[in-house]
Amino acid sequence: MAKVRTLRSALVWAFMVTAAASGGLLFWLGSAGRPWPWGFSLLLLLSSLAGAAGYLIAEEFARPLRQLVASARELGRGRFGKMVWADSGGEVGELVDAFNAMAVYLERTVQELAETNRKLEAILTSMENGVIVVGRNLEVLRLNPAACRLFELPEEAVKGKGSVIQLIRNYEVADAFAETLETGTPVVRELQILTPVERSLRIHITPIRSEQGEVEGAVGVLSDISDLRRLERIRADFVANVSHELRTPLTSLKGYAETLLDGALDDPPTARRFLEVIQQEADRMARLISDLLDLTHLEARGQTIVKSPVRIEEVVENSLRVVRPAAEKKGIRLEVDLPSDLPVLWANADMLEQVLINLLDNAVKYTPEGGEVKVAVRAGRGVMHISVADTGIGIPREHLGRLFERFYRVDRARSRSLGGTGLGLAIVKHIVERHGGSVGVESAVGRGSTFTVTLPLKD
Amino acid sequence: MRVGFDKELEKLERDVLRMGSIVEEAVVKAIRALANQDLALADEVIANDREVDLLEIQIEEKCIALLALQCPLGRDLRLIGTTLKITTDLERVGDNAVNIMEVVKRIGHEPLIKPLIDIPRMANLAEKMLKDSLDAFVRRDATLAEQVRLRDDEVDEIYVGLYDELMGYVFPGGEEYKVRQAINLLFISYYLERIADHATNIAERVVYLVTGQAVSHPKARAAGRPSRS
Ligand SMILES: Nc1ncnc2c1ncn2[C@@H]1O[C@H](COP(=O)(O)OP(=O)(O)OP(=O)(O)O)[C@@H](O)[C@H]1O
Ligand SMILES: [Mg+2]
Repeated sequence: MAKVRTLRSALVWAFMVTAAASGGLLFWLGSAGRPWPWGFSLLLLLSSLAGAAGYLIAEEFARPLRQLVASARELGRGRFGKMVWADSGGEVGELVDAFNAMAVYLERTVQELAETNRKLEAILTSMENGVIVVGRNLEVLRLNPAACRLFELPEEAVKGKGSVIQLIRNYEVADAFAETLETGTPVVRELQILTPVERSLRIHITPIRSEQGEVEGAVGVLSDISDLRRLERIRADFVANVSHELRTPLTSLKGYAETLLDGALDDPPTARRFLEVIQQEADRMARLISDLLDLTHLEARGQTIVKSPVRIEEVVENSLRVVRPAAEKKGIRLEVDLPSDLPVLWANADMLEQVLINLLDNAVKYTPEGGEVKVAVRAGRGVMHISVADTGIGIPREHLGRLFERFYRVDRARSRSLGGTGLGLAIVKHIVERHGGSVGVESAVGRGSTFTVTLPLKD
Repeated sequence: MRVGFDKELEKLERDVLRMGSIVEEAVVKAIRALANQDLALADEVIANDREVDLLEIQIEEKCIALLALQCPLGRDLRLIGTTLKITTDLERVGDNAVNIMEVVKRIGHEPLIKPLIDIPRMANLAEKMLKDSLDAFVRRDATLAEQVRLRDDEVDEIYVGLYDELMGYVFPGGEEYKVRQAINLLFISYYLERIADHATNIAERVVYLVTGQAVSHPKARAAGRPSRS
C-alpha cells in the first residue's frame, strides 16, 4: 500500500510542477511584452486547474496499478485466478493484459508441476524397490518408503537429512554412491547386508547430470534379491542331490557288471547274487526317477487335479495291501481304526493312495521288529483327519522342521540302507497341499511318530 | 576458508561413520561365527580388520591436520576431539572382534561344554550398544547416549554371572578339554564386555560433544577380574 501512495503523490507532484512551470512561462511572456494586469490571476486559476486534472489523471493511472500490485501479491501467495479488471487503454492497459496472461500461464504451469510431482510421489511411494536420491556431496535428498523399510528407518527419514552413511550406516552402500559421483558412471553392485535383517541387495546407481553435463547427484535403486538367491541355492542343492542320488546306484551297477564280465559269470551262484543286486539298484533308480517326475508334475501348478468322491475305507485297504508283506516280514502289527459312518471325501484316489503308502512305508521302515503301526481316520468339521502312528525310532525335534523337504533324511546312512531317497514325504506334502489340506508330525525319540493329514471334505 | 573447513568436518564425520559401519559389521559377523562355529567367517573377520587399522590412522592424521591448520574453536574443536577418541574406541572394538575370532578358531568344532545362552545375549546387547552409540553420534542425541551408558551395567552383570559359572569348570582334576573350553569361553565374554565398554565410551563422548560437559565415569572399570566377595 505504501508504494501505491508514493506513486500517486509522485504523479501529483509531477503535474503540479509542470503546471507551475507553464504558469511561470506565460507570466514571463506577459511581462516581457504587453502588460497583462489580469494575467496573474488567470495563471493562478490555470495552474490549479492543471493540478486538479493532474490528480485525476494520476488516480486514473494508479487504480489499475494498485489492482496489479494486489493481484501480484495474491499470485505470490499462490492464489491464482484473480484477474485485474481495468478498461484503461494505452500502456497501462497493455500492462494489465500482459499481467493477466502471465497469471493464467503461471497457474497452468504450477498446476502441471504439482501434477507431475504428485505422480512422481505416487510412483516413488508405491514402488517395491528402494530409491535413494543423493546430491553432489552425498547428502540424501529423497528416500522412498521401500528404502526405509529395507534399512528399517523411521518414516520421517523419507525427507532425507544427512549423508548416506549417516542415514543408512552401511559403508558398502555409501561407497557405491561415492563411486558413482566420482566416476560419473553407473555402478551396479550386489551386496549382503547383515543388519537389521540379513538380505541380499542389488543396487543400481545412476549419476544425475546437469544440462552442462556435470554430475549433480545420483539415483540409486535397490532391489531385495534374497528370495532369488535362496531359490538359486535350493535349485543348486537339488541338482547336486539328484546327481548324487543317481550316481550312487550307477556306480554299483557298473561295479557289479564289470565284476561279472571279469569272470564272476562263470560262478553261477555268485553271478546270481550280483544280478540280484543289479536289479535292486536298477529298481531304486527307476523309483527315484518316477518320484522325481511325480514331484515335477505336482509342482507344475497350472494343472488342476481331478477329484471324485472317494471312500476312504477303500484307499486305506489298498494301501495296507501294499505294505503288508514288508510288515509281516518284520513282525509288525498293522492296526486300523475306521469309524463306520465316515463322510464321502472329494479327492484324487490314486494320489491319496500314494500319500498313505508313503506314510505307511516309512512307519514300517522306521519301526523295529515287533512294533505296531496304526491307521486312524476321523471326521472333523468339514475336514477329514487321517493319521499313521508307529511305535518306531522317532525323530529328533531339530529335524521336524525340514522333514518334508526334498532329499531330507534324518540319518542318511540308515535311510539309504533301507532304500530311501528322501522324496517320500516331499511328495506327501505336495499332494496334500494340492488338495488344499495340510500335513503335520508329532514324534518322540525312541517312542514313535504320528503323521497326520488333514483334508477338506470338499473344496 | 570457513566453507572449506565445514566441508572438511562433514567429510571427517562421514569417515568416522564409515569406519563405524565396518566395525559394526565385523561385530555382527563375529557373533555369527561364534554361534555357528564358522571358522571361515572367523578368518574373514580377522582379515578385514586391517582396513579398520588403516582407517584409524587416516582419520587420526586428518584430525591432526585440521587441528594444526584451522585452529578450530568451540563446537568444531569438540567435534574433532570426539572424533579422535571415537576412532580409537572403534579400532579397539575391531580388535576385540578379532580376539573373539581367534578364540573361536581355538575351540574349532569341539562340542560345546554348555549350550551358549548368556554369551549370545551379551553379544547382542554389546552389538546394540555399539549401534546406538553411533546413532546417538549421528543424531547428536545425548538422551540415547545416556541410555547406552546405563545398559553397560546389564552387560557387566551378565559378565559377572558368566565368570562364576565358567570358573565352576576350572578346578584341579577337571576334564582337560572342559577346563580349556571354559577358559576360552571366559575370554570371549571378557572381550564382549570390552566391546560394551568401548560403546559406553563412545556414548560418553557423544554426551560431551552435545552438552560440552564431560561425563564422569560412574565406576572404575576393573574388567577381567570382577570382584566377588
Ligand atoms: N515314521 C517315521 N519314523 C521315523 N523317521 C521317519 C519316519 N518317517 C520319515 N522319517 C524320517 O524322515 C526322512 C524323510 O522321509 P521320506 O519318506 O521323505 O524319505 P525316505 O523314507 O528316506 O525315502 P523314500 O523317498 O524312499 O520315502 C526319512 O529319511 C526318515 O529319517
Ligand atoms: Mg519314505
